[in-house]
Amino acid sequence: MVDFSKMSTMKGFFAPTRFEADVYDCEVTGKIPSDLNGAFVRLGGDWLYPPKFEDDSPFSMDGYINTFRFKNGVVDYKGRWVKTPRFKADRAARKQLFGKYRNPFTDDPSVAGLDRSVQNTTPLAFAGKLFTLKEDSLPYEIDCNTLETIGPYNFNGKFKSLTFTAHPKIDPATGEMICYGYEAEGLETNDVFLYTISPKGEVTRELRFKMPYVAMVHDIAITEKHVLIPVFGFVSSMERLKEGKVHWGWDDTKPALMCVVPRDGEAKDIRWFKGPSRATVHTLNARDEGGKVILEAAIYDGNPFPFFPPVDGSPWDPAKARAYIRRQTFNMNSKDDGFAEDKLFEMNVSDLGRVDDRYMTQPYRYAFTSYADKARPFEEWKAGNLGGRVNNCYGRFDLSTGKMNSYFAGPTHSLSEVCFVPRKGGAEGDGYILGVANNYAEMRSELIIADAQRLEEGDVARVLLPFRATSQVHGRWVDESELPFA
Amino acid sequence: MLTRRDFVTKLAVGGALAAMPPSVWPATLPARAPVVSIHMDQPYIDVTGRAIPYIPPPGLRSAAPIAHLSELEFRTRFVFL
Repeated sequence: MVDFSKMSTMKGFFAPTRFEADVYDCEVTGKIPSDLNGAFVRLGGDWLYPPKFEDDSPFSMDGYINTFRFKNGVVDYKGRWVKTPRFKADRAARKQLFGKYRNPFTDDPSVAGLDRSVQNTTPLAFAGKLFTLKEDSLPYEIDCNTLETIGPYNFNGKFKSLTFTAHPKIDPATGEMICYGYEAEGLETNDVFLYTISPKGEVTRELRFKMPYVAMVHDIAITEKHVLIPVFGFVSSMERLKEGKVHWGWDDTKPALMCVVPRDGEAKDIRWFKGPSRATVHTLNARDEGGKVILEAAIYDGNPFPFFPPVDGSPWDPAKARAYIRRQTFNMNSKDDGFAEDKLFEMNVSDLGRVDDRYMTQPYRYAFTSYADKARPFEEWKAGNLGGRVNNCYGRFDLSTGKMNSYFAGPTHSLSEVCFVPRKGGAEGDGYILGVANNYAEMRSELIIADAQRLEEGDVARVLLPFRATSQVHGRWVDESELPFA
Repeated sequence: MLTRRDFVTKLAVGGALAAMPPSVWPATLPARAPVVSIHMDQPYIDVTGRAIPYIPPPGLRSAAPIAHLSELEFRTRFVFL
Protein backbone atom coordinates (compact mmCIF):
# COMPACT_ATOMS: atom_id res chain seq x y z
CA MET A 1 0.00 0.00 0.00
CA VAL A 2 1.33 3.41 -0.91
CA ASP A 3 1.77 5.66 2.09
CA PHE A 4 3.37 9.07 1.87
CA SER A 5 2.05 10.16 5.29
CA LYS A 6 5.44 9.66 6.93
CA MET A 7 7.08 12.03 4.43
CA SER A 8 6.67 15.17 6.46
CA THR A 9 7.33 17.63 3.64
CA MET A 10 5.37 15.93 0.87
CA LYS A 11 2.22 17.89 1.67
CA GLY A 12 0.16 20.62 0.05
CA PHE A 13 1.70 21.77 -3.19
CA PHE A 14 4.62 19.43 -2.61
CA ALA A 15 2.69 16.18 -2.42
CA PRO A 16 3.55 13.71 -5.17
CA THR A 17 1.25 13.83 -8.20
CA ARG A 18 1.93 10.30 -9.54
CA PHE A 19 -0.13 10.51 -12.71
CA GLU A 20 0.50 10.86 -16.41
CA ALA A 21 -1.43 13.56 -18.18
CA ASP A 22 -2.60 14.89 -21.52
CA VAL A 23 -4.23 18.27 -21.86
CA TYR A 24 -5.42 18.99 -25.37
CA ASP A 25 -5.66 22.67 -26.23
CA CYS A 26 -4.59 24.17 -22.93
CA GLU A 27 -6.28 27.17 -21.36
CA VAL A 28 -4.31 30.29 -22.20
CA THR A 29 -4.40 33.87 -20.98
CA GLY A 30 -2.95 36.47 -23.32
CA LYS A 31 -1.85 35.45 -26.78
CA ILE A 32 0.68 32.79 -27.73
CA PRO A 33 3.25 34.33 -30.11
CA SER A 34 2.69 32.92 -33.58
CA ASP A 35 6.42 32.48 -34.18
CA LEU A 36 6.77 29.96 -31.33
CA ASN A 37 6.45 26.57 -33.02
CA GLY A 38 8.05 23.59 -31.33
CA ALA A 39 8.00 22.31 -27.77
CA PHE A 40 9.10 23.41 -24.35
CA VAL A 41 10.41 20.16 -22.92
CA ARG A 42 10.76 19.81 -19.16
CA LEU A 43 12.49 17.05 -17.25
CA GLY A 44 12.35 16.59 -13.53
CA GLY A 45 11.08 14.17 -11.01
CA ASP A 46 8.30 12.94 -8.82
CA TRP A 47 8.15 10.06 -6.36
CA LEU A 48 6.27 7.05 -7.67
CA TYR A 49 6.83 5.44 -4.27
CA PRO A 50 8.17 7.02 -1.08
CA PRO A 51 11.96 6.97 -0.81
CA LYS A 52 13.41 4.18 1.33
CA PHE A 53 15.22 6.81 3.36
CA GLU A 54 13.57 10.16 4.11
CA ASP A 55 16.99 11.86 4.15
CA ASP A 56 17.78 10.69 0.62
CA SER A 57 18.61 13.31 -2.00
CA PRO A 58 15.73 14.79 -4.02
CA PHE A 59 17.88 13.88 -7.01
CA SER A 60 16.62 10.31 -6.53
CA MET A 61 13.09 11.17 -7.67
CA ASP A 62 11.73 9.16 -10.60
CA GLY A 63 12.17 10.92 -13.92
CA TYR A 64 9.15 12.59 -15.48
CA ILE A 65 9.25 14.24 -18.90
CA ASN A 66 6.65 16.70 -20.03
CA THR A 67 6.14 18.88 -23.08
CA PHE A 68 4.21 22.01 -23.90
CA ARG A 69 3.77 21.58 -27.66
CA PHE A 70 3.33 24.92 -29.43
CA LYS A 71 1.77 24.94 -32.88
CA ASN A 72 0.04 27.81 -34.68
CA GLY A 73 -0.74 29.72 -31.53
CA VAL A 74 -2.16 26.86 -29.43
CA VAL A 75 -0.52 24.61 -26.85
CA ASP A 76 -1.02 20.95 -25.92
CA TYR A 77 0.49 19.40 -22.78
CA LYS A 78 1.72 15.86 -22.27
CA GLY A 79 3.46 14.30 -19.26
CA ARG A 80 4.93 10.81 -18.92
CA TRP A 81 7.14 8.94 -16.50
CA VAL A 82 10.51 7.96 -17.90
CA LYS A 83 10.08 4.22 -17.83
CA THR A 84 13.52 3.03 -16.83
CA PRO A 85 14.24 -0.49 -15.59
CA ARG A 86 14.22 1.01 -12.10
CA PHE A 87 10.78 2.53 -12.59
CA LYS A 88 9.42 -0.73 -13.98
CA ALA A 89 10.88 -2.77 -11.12
CA ASP A 90 9.38 -0.48 -8.47
CA ARG A 91 6.04 -0.46 -10.24
CA ALA A 92 5.98 -4.24 -10.50
CA ALA A 93 6.83 -4.60 -6.81
CA ARG A 94 4.47 -1.76 -5.85
CA LYS A 95 7.14 -0.30 -3.57
CA GLN A 96 10.48 1.47 -3.56
CA LEU A 97 13.26 -1.04 -4.07
CA PHE A 98 16.13 1.39 -4.51
CA GLY A 99 18.06 3.06 -1.73
CA LYS A 100 20.12 6.19 -1.45
CA TYR A 101 21.35 8.42 -4.24
CA ARG A 102 23.81 6.52 -6.45
CA ASN A 103 24.49 3.93 -3.76
CA PRO A 104 23.60 0.40 -4.88
CA PHE A 105 24.65 -1.00 -1.50
CA THR A 106 21.43 0.39 -0.03
CA ASP A 107 19.12 -1.32 -2.55
CA ASP A 108 16.84 -4.28 -2.11
CA PRO A 109 18.86 -7.38 -3.14
CA SER A 110 16.25 -8.23 -5.77
CA VAL A 111 17.42 -5.37 -7.99
CA ALA A 112 21.17 -5.99 -7.83
CA GLY A 113 22.79 -5.19 -11.16
CA LEU A 114 19.79 -3.33 -12.58
CA ASP A 115 20.26 0.13 -14.11
CA ARG A 116 19.58 2.43 -11.13
CA SER A 117 19.19 5.60 -13.17
CA VAL A 118 16.07 7.70 -12.70
CA GLN A 119 16.60 9.95 -15.78
CA ASN A 120 15.39 13.15 -14.17
CA THR A 121 17.82 15.92 -15.09
CA THR A 122 17.97 17.38 -18.62
CA PRO A 123 16.10 16.86 -21.89
CA LEU A 124 18.17 16.92 -25.07
CA ALA A 125 17.20 17.11 -28.73
CA PHE A 126 20.11 16.06 -30.94
CA ALA A 127 20.54 14.35 -34.30
CA GLY A 128 16.77 14.19 -34.73
CA LYS A 129 16.19 12.33 -31.48
CA LEU A 130 14.86 13.29 -28.06
CA PHE A 131 16.73 12.10 -24.99
CA THR A 132 16.55 12.29 -21.22
CA LEU A 133 19.85 12.71 -19.43
CA LYS A 134 21.11 11.75 -15.99
CA GLU A 135 24.82 11.79 -15.28
CA ASP A 136 24.93 8.31 -13.75
CA SER A 137 23.99 6.43 -16.91
CA LEU A 138 23.61 6.53 -20.67
CA PRO A 139 21.00 8.81 -22.26
CA TYR A 140 17.51 7.38 -22.70
CA GLU A 141 15.83 7.88 -26.06
CA ILE A 142 12.24 9.12 -25.89
CA ASP A 143 9.58 9.19 -28.61
CA CYS A 144 9.06 12.93 -29.11
CA ASN A 145 5.37 12.54 -29.92
CA THR A 146 4.19 9.97 -27.38
CA LEU A 147 6.91 10.62 -24.77
CA GLU A 148 7.14 6.88 -24.29
CA THR A 149 10.57 5.58 -23.31
CA ILE A 150 12.51 3.75 -26.04
CA GLY A 151 15.62 2.93 -23.98
CA PRO A 152 19.30 3.64 -23.39
CA TYR A 153 21.34 4.98 -26.30
CA ASN A 154 25.09 4.66 -26.92
CA PHE A 155 25.54 6.35 -30.31
CA ASN A 156 25.86 3.20 -32.36
CA GLY A 157 28.14 1.61 -29.79
CA LYS A 158 30.79 4.30 -30.16
CA PHE A 159 30.10 6.07 -26.88
CA LYS A 160 32.09 3.88 -24.53
CA SER A 161 31.64 5.67 -21.22
CA LEU A 162 29.09 4.01 -18.94
CA THR A 163 27.78 7.45 -18.03
CA PHE A 164 26.71 10.53 -20.00
CA THR A 165 26.60 14.05 -18.66
CA ALA A 166 23.38 15.96 -18.06
CA HIS A 167 25.03 18.99 -19.68
CA PRO A 168 26.43 18.37 -23.14
CA LYS A 169 27.19 21.50 -25.12
CA ILE A 170 26.26 22.14 -28.76
CA ASP A 171 28.71 24.31 -30.69
CA PRO A 172 26.44 26.68 -32.68
CA ALA A 173 29.10 27.15 -35.34
CA THR A 174 29.62 23.47 -36.19
CA GLY A 175 26.53 21.79 -34.74
CA GLU A 176 28.82 19.35 -32.95
CA MET A 177 28.02 18.11 -29.48
CA ILE A 178 30.77 18.12 -26.86
CA CYS A 179 29.87 15.65 -24.15
CA TYR A 180 31.46 13.40 -21.58
CA GLY A 181 30.99 10.80 -18.94
CA TYR A 182 32.67 10.72 -15.53
CA GLU A 183 33.04 7.64 -13.38
CA ALA A 184 33.21 6.49 -16.97
CA GLU A 185 34.46 2.97 -16.31
CA GLY A 186 32.15 2.28 -13.38
CA LEU A 187 31.20 3.25 -9.89
CA GLU A 188 33.94 5.24 -8.08
CA THR A 189 36.39 5.24 -10.97
CA ASN A 190 38.16 8.53 -11.66
CA ASP A 191 38.03 8.24 -15.45
CA VAL A 192 36.58 10.92 -17.72
CA PHE A 193 35.79 10.15 -21.37
CA LEU A 194 35.34 13.31 -23.45
CA TYR A 195 33.60 13.07 -26.83
CA THR A 196 32.83 15.07 -29.92
CA ILE A 197 29.71 13.89 -31.76
CA SER A 198 28.74 15.13 -35.22
CA PRO A 199 25.34 16.75 -35.91
CA LYS A 200 24.29 13.41 -37.43
CA GLY A 201 25.05 11.60 -34.19
CA GLU A 202 28.38 9.99 -35.09
CA VAL A 203 31.18 9.91 -32.53
CA THR A 204 34.14 11.66 -34.20
CA ARG A 205 36.54 12.04 -31.31
CA GLU A 206 37.25 10.49 -27.92
CA LEU A 207 39.71 11.64 -25.26
CA ARG A 208 40.25 9.66 -22.07
CA PHE A 209 41.88 11.08 -18.96
CA LYS A 210 41.85 10.67 -15.21
CA MET A 211 40.75 13.09 -12.49
CA PRO A 212 42.94 13.68 -9.43
CA TYR A 213 40.14 12.15 -7.32
CA VAL A 214 36.56 10.96 -7.77
CA ALA A 215 34.45 14.10 -7.85
CA MET A 216 31.20 15.42 -9.29
CA VAL A 217 31.53 16.92 -12.78
CA HIS A 218 28.04 18.18 -13.42
CA ASP A 219 28.53 20.75 -16.19
CA ILE A 220 31.16 22.05 -18.58
CA ALA A 221 31.64 25.07 -20.82
CA ILE A 222 33.11 25.25 -24.31
CA THR A 223 34.96 27.85 -26.33
CA GLU A 224 36.02 27.61 -29.97
CA LYS A 225 39.28 25.96 -28.86
CA HIS A 226 38.79 24.60 -25.35
CA VAL A 227 36.58 22.61 -23.03
CA LEU A 228 36.38 23.84 -19.42
CA ILE A 229 35.56 21.21 -16.80
CA PRO A 230 34.92 22.49 -13.26
CA VAL A 231 35.81 20.12 -10.43
CA PHE A 232 35.03 21.01 -6.84
CA GLY A 233 34.38 19.61 -3.38
CA PHE A 234 31.75 16.91 -3.95
CA VAL A 235 33.78 13.74 -3.38
CA SER A 236 32.98 10.06 -3.14
CA SER A 237 34.53 6.71 -2.34
CA MET A 238 33.60 3.07 -2.26
CA GLU A 239 34.04 3.19 1.52
CA ARG A 240 31.33 5.80 2.01
CA LEU A 241 28.97 3.84 -0.21
CA LYS A 242 29.55 0.67 1.80
CA GLU A 243 28.79 2.71 4.93
CA GLY A 244 25.33 3.34 3.44
CA LYS A 245 25.77 7.02 2.65
CA VAL A 246 24.61 9.01 -0.35
CA HIS A 247 27.09 9.10 -3.22
CA TRP A 248 28.51 12.56 -2.54
CA GLY A 249 29.92 14.30 0.50
CA TRP A 250 31.36 17.80 0.60
CA ASP A 251 35.07 18.19 1.33
CA ASP A 252 35.76 21.84 2.13
CA THR A 253 39.51 21.27 1.89
CA LYS A 254 39.30 20.62 -1.84
CA PRO A 255 40.20 23.61 -4.00
CA ALA A 256 38.17 24.67 -7.00
CA LEU A 257 39.86 23.00 -9.95
CA MET A 258 39.35 23.95 -13.58
CA CYS A 259 40.40 21.38 -16.12
CA VAL A 260 41.06 23.15 -19.45
CA VAL A 261 41.24 20.74 -22.38
CA PRO A 262 42.13 21.81 -25.93
CA ARG A 263 39.30 20.60 -28.18
CA ASP A 264 41.86 19.14 -30.59
CA GLY A 265 44.38 18.17 -27.91
CA GLU A 266 45.47 15.07 -26.05
CA ALA A 267 45.56 14.23 -22.37
CA LYS A 268 49.09 15.62 -22.10
CA ASP A 269 47.81 19.04 -23.20
CA ILE A 270 45.35 19.39 -20.29
CA ARG A 271 45.92 22.29 -17.90
CA TRP A 272 44.62 22.19 -14.32
CA PHE A 273 44.01 25.57 -12.68
CA LYS A 274 43.42 25.92 -8.96
CA GLY A 275 41.53 28.44 -6.81
CA PRO A 276 39.73 28.83 -3.48
CA SER A 277 36.86 26.50 -2.61
CA ARG A 278 33.87 27.01 -4.87
CA ALA A 279 31.02 25.01 -6.39
CA THR A 280 30.49 25.63 -10.10
CA VAL A 281 27.52 23.36 -10.57
CA HIS A 282 26.27 25.07 -13.76
CA THR A 283 27.94 27.34 -16.28
CA LEU A 284 26.67 30.19 -18.44
CA ASN A 285 29.16 30.59 -21.30
CA ALA A 286 32.87 30.78 -22.12
CA ARG A 287 35.13 32.13 -24.85
CA ASP A 288 38.74 32.48 -25.98
CA GLU A 289 40.20 35.98 -25.82
CA GLY A 290 43.79 36.15 -27.02
CA GLY A 291 45.73 33.80 -24.79
CA LYS A 292 43.01 33.72 -22.17
CA VAL A 293 40.00 31.53 -21.60
CA ILE A 294 37.11 33.30 -19.90
CA LEU A 295 34.16 31.68 -18.14
CA GLU A 296 31.03 33.21 -16.65
CA ALA A 297 28.82 31.23 -14.27
CA ALA A 298 26.67 31.62 -11.17
CA ILE A 299 29.07 30.10 -8.65
CA TYR A 300 28.62 29.13 -5.00
CA ASP A 301 31.21 29.78 -2.29
CA GLY A 302 30.64 26.33 -0.86
CA ASN A 303 28.25 23.40 -0.66
CA PRO A 304 24.81 24.25 -2.07
CA PHE A 305 23.27 20.86 -1.28
CA PRO A 306 22.89 19.92 2.41
CA PHE A 307 21.71 16.45 1.39
CA PHE A 308 25.33 15.88 0.36
CA PRO A 309 26.72 16.72 3.82
CA PRO A 310 30.27 17.72 4.81
CA VAL A 311 32.53 14.68 5.09
CA ASP A 312 34.14 16.00 8.29
CA GLY A 313 30.83 16.04 10.16
CA SER A 314 30.71 19.82 10.40
CA PRO A 315 27.36 21.54 9.99
CA TRP A 316 26.23 22.64 6.54
CA ASP A 317 26.87 26.36 6.06
CA PRO A 318 23.93 28.17 4.43
CA ALA A 319 25.99 31.34 4.08
CA LYS A 320 28.15 29.59 1.49
CA ALA A 321 25.16 28.22 -0.39
CA ARG A 322 24.54 31.47 -2.27
CA ALA A 323 25.39 31.74 -5.96
CA TYR A 324 26.71 34.90 -7.59
CA ILE A 325 27.40 35.58 -11.26
CA ARG A 326 31.17 35.61 -11.57
CA ARG A 327 33.84 35.70 -14.25
CA GLN A 328 36.88 33.46 -14.06
CA THR A 329 39.88 34.13 -16.31
CA PHE A 330 42.46 31.49 -17.13
CA ASN A 331 45.73 32.67 -18.68
CA MET A 332 46.88 29.94 -21.02
CA ASN A 333 50.17 31.78 -21.68
CA SER A 334 51.18 31.73 -18.03
CA LYS A 335 52.69 28.77 -16.19
CA ASP A 336 50.87 29.92 -13.04
CA ASP A 337 48.08 27.51 -12.12
CA GLY A 338 46.00 30.22 -10.43
CA PHE A 339 43.15 32.15 -12.02
CA ALA A 340 41.45 35.52 -11.63
CA GLU A 341 37.87 35.82 -10.43
CA ASP A 342 35.47 38.79 -10.46
CA LYS A 343 31.97 39.00 -8.99
CA LEU A 344 29.86 40.69 -11.69
CA PHE A 345 26.67 41.21 -9.67
CA GLU A 346 26.33 41.48 -5.91
CA MET A 347 22.90 39.84 -5.80
CA ASN A 348 22.33 36.20 -4.96
CA VAL A 349 20.78 34.34 -7.92
CA SER A 350 19.80 30.85 -9.03
CA ASP A 351 22.72 29.03 -10.62
CA LEU A 352 20.33 27.64 -13.26
CA GLY A 353 21.17 30.40 -15.72
CA ARG A 354 20.90 30.51 -19.49
CA VAL A 355 22.28 32.53 -22.38
CA ASP A 356 21.25 32.96 -25.99
CA ASP A 357 22.65 29.61 -27.16
CA ARG A 358 23.47 31.01 -30.59
CA TYR A 359 26.28 32.90 -28.82
CA MET A 360 27.80 29.91 -27.09
CA THR A 361 31.64 30.04 -27.40
CA GLN A 362 31.38 33.69 -28.51
CA PRO A 363 31.47 37.13 -26.84
CA TYR A 364 27.96 37.84 -25.57
CA ARG A 365 26.07 40.33 -23.49
CA TYR A 366 23.06 38.80 -21.72
CA ALA A 367 22.54 36.12 -19.12
CA PHE A 368 19.12 35.07 -17.83
CA THR A 369 18.35 33.48 -14.50
CA SER A 370 15.84 33.49 -11.66
CA TYR A 371 16.14 35.01 -8.22
CA ALA A 372 14.15 35.75 -5.08
CA ASP A 373 13.18 39.41 -4.75
CA LYS A 374 12.07 39.90 -1.16
CA ALA A 375 10.86 43.39 -1.96
CA ARG A 376 8.13 42.03 -4.21
CA PRO A 377 4.77 41.21 -2.61
CA PHE A 378 4.08 37.66 -1.50
CA GLU A 379 0.47 37.12 -0.46
CA GLU A 380 0.93 34.86 2.52
CA TRP A 381 -2.78 34.63 3.24
CA LYS A 382 -3.30 33.04 -0.18
CA ALA A 383 -0.07 31.17 -0.79
CA GLY A 384 1.45 30.20 2.54
CA ASN A 385 4.43 31.87 4.13
CA LEU A 386 7.26 31.05 1.74
CA GLY A 387 7.89 34.68 0.87
CA GLY A 388 11.56 35.39 0.20
CA ARG A 389 12.45 31.69 0.01
CA VAL A 390 11.32 31.03 -3.54
CA ASN A 391 12.37 32.56 -6.84
CA ASN A 392 9.68 34.98 -7.93
CA CYS A 393 11.56 36.86 -10.68
CA TYR A 394 13.46 36.22 -13.87
CA GLY A 395 16.29 38.63 -14.55
CA ARG A 396 18.11 39.62 -17.71
CA PHE A 397 21.63 40.45 -16.61
CA ASP A 398 23.60 42.73 -18.94
CA LEU A 399 27.20 41.65 -18.49
CA SER A 400 28.49 44.70 -20.38
CA THR A 401 26.70 47.38 -18.34
CA GLY A 402 25.95 45.64 -15.05
CA LYS A 403 22.25 46.48 -15.39
CA MET A 404 19.41 44.06 -14.77
CA ASN A 405 15.86 43.92 -16.10
CA SER A 406 13.26 41.94 -14.21
CA TYR A 407 10.12 39.91 -14.78
CA PHE A 408 7.87 39.30 -11.74
CA ALA A 409 5.73 36.15 -11.82
CA GLY A 410 3.11 37.16 -9.26
CA PRO A 411 2.43 37.38 -5.53
CA THR A 412 1.60 33.68 -5.05
CA HIS A 413 4.14 32.14 -7.41
CA SER A 414 7.57 30.57 -7.57
CA LEU A 415 9.57 30.07 -10.74
CA SER A 416 11.46 27.13 -12.18
CA GLU A 417 14.56 27.48 -14.35
CA VAL A 418 14.32 30.09 -17.10
CA CYS A 419 14.63 29.20 -20.78
CA PHE A 420 15.51 31.68 -23.52
CA VAL A 421 14.07 31.22 -27.01
CA PRO A 422 15.63 33.45 -29.68
CA ARG A 423 13.42 35.08 -32.28
CA LYS A 424 14.51 33.75 -35.68
CA GLY A 425 16.84 36.27 -37.29
CA GLY A 426 16.84 38.46 -34.20
CA ALA A 427 19.84 39.98 -32.45
CA GLU A 428 21.24 38.57 -29.22
CA GLY A 429 18.59 38.63 -26.50
CA ASP A 430 15.71 39.25 -28.94
CA GLY A 431 13.16 36.56 -28.21
CA TYR A 432 11.13 35.07 -25.40
CA ILE A 433 11.72 33.73 -21.95
CA LEU A 434 9.75 30.66 -20.95
CA GLY A 435 9.42 29.02 -17.59
CA VAL A 436 6.95 27.30 -15.31
CA ALA A 437 5.52 29.18 -12.36
CA ASN A 438 3.92 27.31 -9.50
CA ASN A 439 0.83 29.09 -8.21
CA TYR A 440 0.44 28.26 -4.50
CA ALA A 441 -2.98 29.93 -4.29
CA GLU A 442 -4.55 27.98 -7.11
CA MET A 443 -2.67 24.64 -6.69
CA ARG A 444 -1.67 24.72 -10.34
CA SER A 445 1.29 25.37 -12.59
CA GLU A 446 1.44 28.02 -15.28
CA LEU A 447 3.88 28.28 -18.18
CA ILE A 448 4.78 31.93 -18.59
CA ILE A 449 5.91 33.44 -21.87
CA ALA A 450 7.44 36.91 -21.79
CA ASP A 451 9.20 39.14 -24.28
CA ALA A 452 12.84 39.00 -23.25
CA GLN A 453 13.33 42.65 -24.17
CA ARG A 454 10.28 43.86 -22.24
CA LEU A 455 10.42 41.91 -19.02
CA GLU A 456 8.98 44.70 -16.88
CA GLU A 457 5.78 44.61 -18.95
CA GLY A 458 4.96 41.12 -17.66
CA ASP A 459 4.09 38.05 -19.66
CA VAL A 460 2.54 38.08 -23.10
CA ALA A 461 0.80 34.76 -22.41
CA ARG A 462 0.32 32.11 -19.74
CA VAL A 463 -0.57 28.49 -20.31
CA LEU A 464 -2.66 27.35 -17.35
CA LEU A 465 -2.48 23.71 -16.31
CA PRO A 466 -5.40 22.49 -14.21
CA PHE A 467 -2.98 20.74 -11.83
CA ARG A 468 0.49 20.92 -10.30
CA ALA A 469 3.25 20.09 -12.76
CA THR A 470 6.01 17.81 -11.54
CA SER A 471 9.10 19.61 -10.31
CA GLN A 472 11.55 20.58 -13.02
CA VAL A 473 15.30 20.31 -12.98
CA HIS A 474 16.02 21.56 -16.49
CA GLY A 475 13.91 22.55 -19.48
CA ARG A 476 14.79 23.17 -23.11
CA TRP A 477 13.04 24.78 -26.04
CA VAL A 478 13.06 22.48 -29.07
CA ASP A 479 12.25 24.12 -32.39
CA GLU A 480 9.90 22.08 -34.58
CA SER A 481 12.69 21.69 -37.15
CA GLU A 482 14.82 19.74 -34.66
CA LEU A 483 12.58 16.70 -34.12
CA PRO A 484 10.07 14.71 -36.21
CA PHE A 485 7.03 16.15 -34.47
CA ALA A 486 3.65 14.93 -35.72
CA MET B 1 -1.81 43.54 0.39
CA LEU B 2 -4.53 45.15 2.49
CA THR B 3 -3.25 45.69 6.03
CA ARG B 4 -5.33 45.75 9.17
CA ARG B 5 -4.71 49.50 9.46
CA ASP B 6 -5.79 50.06 5.86
CA PHE B 7 -8.92 48.05 6.47
CA VAL B 8 -9.95 50.01 9.53
CA THR B 9 -9.45 53.19 7.55
CA LYS B 10 -11.65 51.88 4.78
CA LEU B 11 -14.33 50.94 7.31
CA ALA B 12 -14.35 54.51 8.47
CA VAL B 13 -15.23 55.70 5.00
CA GLY B 14 -17.73 52.95 4.42
CA GLY B 15 -15.75 51.03 1.85
CA ALA B 16 -14.91 47.98 3.89
CA LEU B 17 -17.18 45.47 2.26
CA ALA B 18 -15.90 46.31 -1.19
CA ALA B 19 -12.36 45.69 -0.02
CA MET B 20 -12.95 42.16 1.25
CA PRO B 21 -11.53 39.34 -0.85
CA PRO B 22 -14.58 37.56 -2.22
CA SER B 23 -12.82 34.19 -2.24
CA VAL B 24 -12.86 34.06 1.55
CA TRP B 25 -16.62 34.52 1.92
CA PRO B 26 -18.06 31.32 3.32
CA ALA B 27 -21.03 29.87 1.50
CA THR B 28 -23.01 28.83 4.55
CA LEU B 29 -25.67 30.93 6.21
CA PRO B 30 -24.90 32.51 9.60
CA ALA B 31 -25.99 30.88 12.81
CA ARG B 32 -25.57 34.19 14.57
CA ALA B 33 -25.12 37.67 13.31
CA PRO B 34 -22.03 37.87 11.09
CA VAL B 35 -18.99 39.67 12.42
CA VAL B 36 -15.95 41.04 10.69
CA SER B 37 -12.89 39.02 11.61
CA ILE B 38 -9.25 39.07 10.58
CA HIS B 39 -7.10 36.25 9.23
CA MET B 40 -3.42 37.04 8.61
CA ASP B 41 -4.15 40.74 8.34
CA GLN B 42 -6.94 40.16 5.87
CA PRO B 43 -10.59 40.87 6.69
CA TYR B 44 -13.30 38.32 6.18
CA ILE B 45 -16.89 37.87 7.30
CA ASP B 46 -17.22 35.26 10.03
CA VAL B 47 -20.78 34.25 9.29
CA THR B 48 -20.98 31.97 12.34
CA GLY B 49 -20.56 34.88 14.65
CA ARG B 50 -18.71 32.49 16.97
CA ALA B 51 -15.10 33.38 16.10
CA ILE B 52 -14.51 29.93 14.71
CA PRO B 53 -10.95 29.75 13.35
CA TYR B 54 -10.72 30.55 9.68
CA ILE B 55 -10.10 27.60 7.36
CA PRO B 56 -8.88 28.59 3.92
CA PRO B 57 -10.73 27.12 0.94
CA PRO B 58 -9.09 24.06 -0.63
CA GLY B 59 -6.04 24.98 -2.67
CA LEU B 60 -5.26 28.17 -0.85
CA ARG B 61 -1.97 28.43 1.07
CA SER B 62 -0.63 25.28 -0.52
CA ALA B 63 2.95 26.28 0.28
CA ALA B 64 2.20 26.49 4.01
CA PRO B 65 3.12 22.86 4.90
CA ILE B 66 6.83 23.55 4.41
CA ALA B 67 6.98 27.12 5.70
CA HIS B 68 8.15 26.03 9.15
CA LEU B 69 11.29 24.37 7.82
CA SER B 70 14.70 25.70 8.80
CA GLU B 71 17.07 26.73 6.04
CA LEU B 72 18.85 23.40 6.43
CA GLU B 73 15.63 21.37 6.25
CA PHE B 74 14.27 23.45 3.39
CA ARG B 75 17.36 23.11 1.23
CA THR B 76 17.64 19.42 2.10
CA ARG B 77 14.19 18.65 0.73
CA PHE B 78 13.79 21.16 -2.07
CA VAL B 79 16.26 22.10 -4.75
CA PHE B 80 14.05 23.29 -7.58
CA LEU B 81 10.80 24.91 -6.45
